[in-house]
Amino acid sequence: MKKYEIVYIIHPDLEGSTAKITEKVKKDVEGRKGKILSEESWGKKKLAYEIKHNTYGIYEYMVVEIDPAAINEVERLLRLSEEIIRQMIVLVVEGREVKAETTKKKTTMKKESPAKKDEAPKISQKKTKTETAKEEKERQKELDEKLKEIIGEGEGN
Amino acid sequence: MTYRSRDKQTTFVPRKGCRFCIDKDLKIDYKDVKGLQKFISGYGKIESRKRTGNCVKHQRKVALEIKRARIIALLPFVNR
Repeated sequence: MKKYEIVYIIHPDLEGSTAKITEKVKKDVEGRKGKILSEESWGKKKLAYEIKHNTYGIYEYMVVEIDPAAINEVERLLRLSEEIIRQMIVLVVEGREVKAETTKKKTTMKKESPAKKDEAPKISQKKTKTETAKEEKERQKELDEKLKEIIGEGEGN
Repeated sequence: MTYRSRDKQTTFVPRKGCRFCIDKDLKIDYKDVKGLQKFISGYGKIESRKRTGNCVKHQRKVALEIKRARIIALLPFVNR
């Protein structure tokens, strides 16, 4: 079993029936002992170049765990179906996948907890500000005392 | 990227290092179109290592991911 990323572009005129097509693809994968780990629809996008005289396409993406022999069959089916104008299957290299997952987690963390993170440093900053203010006052007092001493000594001499 | 003059020998000022080696959280992925667009010219050609400042390993990766993005029409083969 290996992990693959499947991206395919559905014909732009079939915007209403994308659900059916994705269902079909899912069945093709699951019918060959494949597991769908995640799926995502990127929606209608402008193509960087024309494919079969289409300037737009509906992008679908999924991550799949399946046997290498079965993935060839899935790719063949994708290629044969007329609703899909372009498909690509990429093998996920394990080291790379771990990295991708961690970065994803990081981004989600950022999205989830901006308020909490914001609160925490603010408090600490306030603390530090007050602390620094206190320290400065103390320093000034010390300096004043020293100055007085020095002035006093000077007057004495 | 700064070039001093065109008629004289162009002096190339290199960056401190490969940006992917410096920032290890930066990922190279065919899905990240904006990230890859930094490494293609106005005509859609892959920029050379001299221009991008990438190390060999990461330049190879960038090239691979650009080619993948081209297959699914996220990036152009040519921009005319």
